[in-house]
Amino acid sequence: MDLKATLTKATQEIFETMLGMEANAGEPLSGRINSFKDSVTGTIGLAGPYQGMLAIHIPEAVAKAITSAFLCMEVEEIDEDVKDALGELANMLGGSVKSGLGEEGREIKLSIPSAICGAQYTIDCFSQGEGVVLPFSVADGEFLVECQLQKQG
Amino acid sequence: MYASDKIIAATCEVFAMMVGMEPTAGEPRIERLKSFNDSVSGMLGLSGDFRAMVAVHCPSALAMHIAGEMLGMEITEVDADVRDAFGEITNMVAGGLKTAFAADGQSVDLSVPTTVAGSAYNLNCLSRAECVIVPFTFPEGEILVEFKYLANT
Repeated sequence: MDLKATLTKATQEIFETMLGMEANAGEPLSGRINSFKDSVTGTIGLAGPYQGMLAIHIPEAVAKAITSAFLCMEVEEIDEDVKDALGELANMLGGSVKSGLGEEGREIKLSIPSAICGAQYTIDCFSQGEGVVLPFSVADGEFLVECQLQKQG
Repeated sequence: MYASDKIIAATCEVFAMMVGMEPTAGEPRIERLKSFNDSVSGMLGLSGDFRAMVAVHCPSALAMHIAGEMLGMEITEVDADVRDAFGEITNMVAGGLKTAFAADGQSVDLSVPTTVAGSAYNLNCLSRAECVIVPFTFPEGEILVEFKYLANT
């Protein structure tokens, strides 16, 4: 399964169709980043024959711009709308990655999404499988999309 | 209340088994938790016959104590060991819930656990999800186990 290609395509498609934004993919990071400042993270659990998690980590300013585009209204602070929008974004990414992985992805089930935000927080993920962290840039800044997946043992 | 008996049974069993601690379960409540200071939150997604997530929220001081008991050593900061311990505790609580739901004829699979930690963070879930919170009291403090679900997928 090509997680990198699937994640890139899923992210670019969602940003284009849902937000009207062009997201340029950078080179995958060599490892996870687990510490975030003034950011919002949308995350969703993946369960079934493949277990994992998918997350989108976005600096506050970019999160506001994305939510403004998503809701077609100006968003000034990190409120419920932003957190719900980022949860929905993780949900859509999860659905898109699932279908993008073909036969193997079909059996993946999505949990409900969550959003984390704050001045300083860490997120650790306990997966023994394959992981990819991709940086993307949009006009308003950069963000990371992460997917961790392991075959159920 | 939906799932609260299962949450109490699963949580008490995990703490008795893993750390030889017997927390007292408080009254389940429907309330949206949002903001956490100096805390650790283990999170895990469930999906199958319904979609859900379970989270174990713990103040940093108590988290260090619990992880110290689990690992048989003194812990003085919320380090990788503590975050790992809460991922494992959440995984086991979710495993207990999965078994309890299976006994009721509802099948769900688990995602991998993630742990959020920080001096100040918010954790939100879909505003349309239902939510149950059960507090558990230890001599050293209180943890909250949160279960959020969508009734139907």
